[in-house]
Amino acid sequence: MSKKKWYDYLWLFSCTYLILGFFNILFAWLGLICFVTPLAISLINGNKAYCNKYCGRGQLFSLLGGRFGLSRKKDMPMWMKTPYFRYGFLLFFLTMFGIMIWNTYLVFAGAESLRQVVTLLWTFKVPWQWAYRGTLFSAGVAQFAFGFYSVMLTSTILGLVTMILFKPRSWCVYCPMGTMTQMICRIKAGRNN
Amino acid sequence: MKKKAFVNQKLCVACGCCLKACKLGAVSIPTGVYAVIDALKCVGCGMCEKNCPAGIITISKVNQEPVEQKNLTKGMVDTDE
Ligand code: SF4
Ligand code: SF4
Ligand code: SF4
Repeated sequence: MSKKKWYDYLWLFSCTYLILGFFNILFAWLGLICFVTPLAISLINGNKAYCNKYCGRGQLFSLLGGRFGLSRKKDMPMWMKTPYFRYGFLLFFLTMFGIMIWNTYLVFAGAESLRQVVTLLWTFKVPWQWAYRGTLFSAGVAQFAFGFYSVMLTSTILGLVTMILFKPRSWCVYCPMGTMTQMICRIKAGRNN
Repeated sequence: MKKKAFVNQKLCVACGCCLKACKLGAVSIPTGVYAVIDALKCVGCGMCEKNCPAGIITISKVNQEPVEQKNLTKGMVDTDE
């Protein structure tokens, strides 16, 4: 338990990812790794090894909230722990994700033009043209990058806020990836019994 | 009086913070649904409770040695009253 393993440093990857998005938005595509890997692990192995070992975001929060003390370390309100909230947030998150994919499609199809903004908390549109110097591919490729980076930055902000207010890794209680992988594991475990 | 950790498995999100916190390797999350405490290894130190973001681990006194591994209810009696 005490000896650090290679995967205990994956928080560096999470940091780098967020920083790269400030320089070239196309790096946002790398974030797909953080979507596909946990789902694949839960689907194939039926466990949450991603959350339990590899997730750099969780490590980042426990580092900032723990070692750096940026957390009140208070219990979060009961309603945030309920399945209603967790699955409700997952549904909301997936809906917004779907809308983002739809907007990407519209740009691919040429029905809309590329919007060089990062949308924070699904509301605030922040101009981000300084991280975009064109793409060799369709403008849709860039649109997805802007949309996906918005998702990643938004969830980081939410995670930081609940880290400060509650426990370091409070985000993990309502993290859509965590909820989704747990749901997959639950279905798989139910089948095996 | 011995103390052991108990997980509210209904509210557990299987994040693994308790697993990382436990120095004795008493925690596992075998199916990715909830954490399981090995009562034979747990010494009730409370590190997992401290680190659980959902705050759903409790440390309770038990009045006898656990008889079976991974059995979270049998043999555990709260002697507080
Ligand atoms: S719940 Fe989310 S943030 Fe937490 S470890 Fe799992 S994937 Fe990472
Ligand atoms: S830290 Fe809490 S919520 Fe996370 S796996 Fe352990 S008991 Fe469950
Ligand atoms: S109380 Fe201490 S020994 Fe028992 S499971 Fe928690 S961290 Fe491990």
